[in-house]
Amino acid sequence: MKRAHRAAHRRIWPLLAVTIGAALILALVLRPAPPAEAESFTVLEILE
Amino acid sequence: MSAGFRAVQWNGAKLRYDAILLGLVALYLIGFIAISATLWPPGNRSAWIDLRIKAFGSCAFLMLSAVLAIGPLARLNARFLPLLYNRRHLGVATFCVALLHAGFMIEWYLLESEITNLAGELTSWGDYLNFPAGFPFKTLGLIALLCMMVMAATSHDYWLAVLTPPLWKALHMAVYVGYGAAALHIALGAMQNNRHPLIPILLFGLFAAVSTLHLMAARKSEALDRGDETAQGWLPVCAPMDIPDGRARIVAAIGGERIAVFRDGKLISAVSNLCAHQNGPVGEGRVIDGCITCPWHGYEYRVEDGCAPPPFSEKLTTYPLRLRGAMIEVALTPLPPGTKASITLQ
Repeated sequence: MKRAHRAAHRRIWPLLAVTIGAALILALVLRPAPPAEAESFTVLEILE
Repeated sequence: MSAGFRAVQWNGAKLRYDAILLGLVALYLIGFIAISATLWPPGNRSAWIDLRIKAFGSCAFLMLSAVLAIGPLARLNARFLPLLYNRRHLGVATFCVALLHAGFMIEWYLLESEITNLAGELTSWGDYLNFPAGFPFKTLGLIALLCMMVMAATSHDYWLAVLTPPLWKALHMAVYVGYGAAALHIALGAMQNNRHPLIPILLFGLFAAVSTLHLMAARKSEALDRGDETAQGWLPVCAPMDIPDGRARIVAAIGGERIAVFRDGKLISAVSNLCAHQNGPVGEGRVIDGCITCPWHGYEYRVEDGCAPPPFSEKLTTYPLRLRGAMIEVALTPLPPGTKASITLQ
């Protein structure tokens, strides 16, 4: 690889690791909670 | 290496490499589908297609991570060089698996008669502000697929010759954009819709491993790229016998490209560290039968003048050498490629 190509690698990877890494962490932390488990009884059943 | 045009340059080693690659891909896909179908039996045809989408998508990301890990691994440890030899076939195979992943996705939309919804999803501009859930993650997958398509389409040596190695290398750095887009495609798609812990573990693990390897390889090459600030005209290398027989000592002047100083018995020569094929590091190769052999793809150059043996026509830039006291010195001004500039020790 040419020197300029190696220098480009050295600049790209820290940037890529930080930006994509941060986006991945945010996507994990901010993902919505799973829907609550459906109750096993209905309102009608309660009234009965 | 080839003196003429050939559609695919297969040889025994490459055929073995490709056979192992196809075997591993088939094993992964069959294993993924068999295990998933056993644990969560698909109820209908749509669910089967969904299973194939997941199998091929995860396989493509795994393969892309492997493609990107091979370069820094080979720079950090020469034992990984055999993996680099046929990396382009691995890259093309990755694109094919990713294309099938996209194809199954389209099949799913056609089956559900919702193909118009797919176009709607990609062009719902307001949704691009939703993060992380609700973001049109398929657009990121499409970007990754397009990047891989460009890499695969220009992977042949024909394009390498037409574009020249520096431009070809620069173009192929788009694979990093593709990798970032693919990682986000999974994070905003599969990871949002499926709570299985393996998804974030594999995604973060693979991305962290690939990034760490690239950062380690960059750090390793940084010191040599700084070069020798004191060199003017002639650059001291080392004593002749300090160069292992059949190997090279790599040096660089400040702001200059690397120079590989080879010793083959009593013959010493200095050539550019850039292979004429793909700018591979010839200085990390060996002298085999009087020829410097590039560790990447086996391109060969005669030690004495940097010319590839007939019928090949590639040439390396050479550098004048002199023996001053007990030290070899190399001139910082290069000679025209293929100029004989070796010296013989008494």
